Amino acid sequence: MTAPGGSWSWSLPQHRSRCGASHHRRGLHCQDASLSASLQSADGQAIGLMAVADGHGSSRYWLSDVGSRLACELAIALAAQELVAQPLLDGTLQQLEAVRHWLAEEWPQRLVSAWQSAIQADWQGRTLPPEHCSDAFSSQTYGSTLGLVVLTPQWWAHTGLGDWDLVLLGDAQQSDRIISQENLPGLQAEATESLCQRNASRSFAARTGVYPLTGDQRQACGVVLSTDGIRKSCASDADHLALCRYLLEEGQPQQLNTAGESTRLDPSLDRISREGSGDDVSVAIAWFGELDREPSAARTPPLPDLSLDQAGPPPPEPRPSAALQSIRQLDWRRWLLVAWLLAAATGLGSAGVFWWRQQSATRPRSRESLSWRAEQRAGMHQAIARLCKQPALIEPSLKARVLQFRLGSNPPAEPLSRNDWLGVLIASSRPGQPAGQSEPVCPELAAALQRYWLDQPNKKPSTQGIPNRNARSMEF
Amino acid sequence: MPGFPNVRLANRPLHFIYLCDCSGSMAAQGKMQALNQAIRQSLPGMARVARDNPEARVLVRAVAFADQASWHIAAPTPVEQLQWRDLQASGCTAMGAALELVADQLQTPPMEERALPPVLVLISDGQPTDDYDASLEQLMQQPWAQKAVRLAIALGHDADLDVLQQFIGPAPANQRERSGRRPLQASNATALAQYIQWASTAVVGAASMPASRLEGAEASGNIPLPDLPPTELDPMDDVGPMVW
Repeated sequence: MTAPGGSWSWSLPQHRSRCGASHHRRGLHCQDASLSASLQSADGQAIGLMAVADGHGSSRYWLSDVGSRLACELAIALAAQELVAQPLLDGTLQQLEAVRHWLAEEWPQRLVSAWQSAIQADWQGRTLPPEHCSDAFSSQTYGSTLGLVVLTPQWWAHTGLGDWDLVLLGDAQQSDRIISQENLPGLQAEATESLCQRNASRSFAARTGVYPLTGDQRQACGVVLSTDGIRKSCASDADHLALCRYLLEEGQPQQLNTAGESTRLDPSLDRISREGSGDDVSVAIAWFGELDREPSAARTPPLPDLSLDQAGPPPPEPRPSAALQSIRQLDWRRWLLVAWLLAAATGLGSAGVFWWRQQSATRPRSRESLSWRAEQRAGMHQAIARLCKQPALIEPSLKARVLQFRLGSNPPAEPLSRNDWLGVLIASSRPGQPAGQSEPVCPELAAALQRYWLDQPNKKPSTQGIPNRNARSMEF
Repeated sequence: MPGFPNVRLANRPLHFIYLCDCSGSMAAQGKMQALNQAIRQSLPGMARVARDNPEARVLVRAVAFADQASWHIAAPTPVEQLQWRDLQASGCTAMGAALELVADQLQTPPMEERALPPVLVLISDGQPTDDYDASLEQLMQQPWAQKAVRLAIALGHDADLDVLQQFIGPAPANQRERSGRRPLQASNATALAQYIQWASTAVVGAASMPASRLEGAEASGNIPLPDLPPTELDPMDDVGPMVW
């Protein structure tokens, strides 16, 4: 697990989810989700994030695959948004306590609130199948667990709720151990805590841990975060630990240059489910040691400085190679969007908001950033069709994105998920869009979009970016 | 690249436990004969469900209770290996003692931490003659009992439905809803066979599926129960449309 000599750092986190053998046989969706990312703090230090979520799966929770996906996306986005906004803490006890408080008390409230908003928006925009057409919205429909791990050079931490497991692998095999598991009295079988429960944010404290990586505690280690399908496939905890060590070594046999989803583990994950619990299986992995490369060299480029000084100059642009620059631009915009949609969903006015405003005020948007891909246009047309055919959906849909209107000068959006075209539509309707960039919409939607833009404080936009497709006929 | 490690992957045990009333009244009108036949006839279907859900290892046990309670099948037995020995009827209805036997086995250990929620099926035609309340309380103190799928089948009209409902847990709010969360009332051998078949196949299939559920959601049942079978009399049934 120890790499050749160099600076101490975390490997780039990897993640993967696979549909369980039982679900596959029954034709069910994978209810698990996982996500990982790497970024940099305001002072340029590398940060790794990884999340897994387990949708509850049975017919009562028939949208839990959506709930778990949103949980991972929001967890990574919200953690990233807050971590890049400040210099990284250096691992003193006092600062670690501040991190613990953040992960146990503050971040969970924002996460649960954002998740609730996101699932409500999903429900409002969803065409219900016949068997559920009379259902009222219930967060239980989207029920999911969530586990999050934060990796920094000076400390690492975890939080979440539900029946995920976190294994810490040491240099010596005998030091391997399950460092976090759901351990409430009376929780057996398939019972778990969930994001959909009342006061869910209070459950995070019991699953929060912060560990220094300084001084004597700076030792090579690996972490394996997994949903319960992995552990329940093993005959014993010893088997589970051995399996986690294998997954870490199999998943990261070398210093990978990109964080994110890895298919390397697919055969192993499929075998685990097939010969074990049959459940969906998700895993996210990273290891800590002396790396022979610069920690930040291959990471997702840094999120921009979240300085609150709106009058200050923009940070200097990095000048990497052309190919790397292209990759970085894509990743950069993805993270912008994630944080942006997160803010819109949660209604939070955080430091990121100021940054967005600063960026929009100080940087001209590039021509590239204003162009919409064909896929995005098709998605926007779907969103327009849905809202124009069901005008009752317009108000709640836009209300859920109210902060996006306050962030109106952001770069245009890429969808947070395959089905999230509303954010792109709102971005396209931003006042002042060049001709051809905004999409024609029905009068009701145009009026609502215009009203939302005009209602935002400190903005005096024109309305030229909201073309009103006349009411004569609308064919979608 | 390391090879797949020498770890023991294993499917998860699903414990299925019958609690069978063997009191003297079960000898009347062929009820005991019908119960033995229903369980025996259900085993092939149960084995098929087990084969179709290889992630679950269906293990069957049975408790018989009359003057006392004892394990009729003590060892958790894979359904495909199970040979059903006929139960005999005589004596009182020590239902509480039966619950205590099961409570002892639902502790961890011997229950495996990674087990699926067990399925408990209580079958009775009368009223308990021992301290049922205390025994039920003892049973329900076991987390595995709380998480279990608990079903009850009432044979005939003398069965104590209130007692069986206490075993199951809260009834559905809708009084007219047919639900496995109420005692299933079998008034003839055909209905009994259908309910036994349902519990040993449809319910086992549902319980075999790995699906999380919310902590504290027991009020709506630990798993979504499959639809109950129809219970019309079948004139072609060998046992005959006997009314208990």
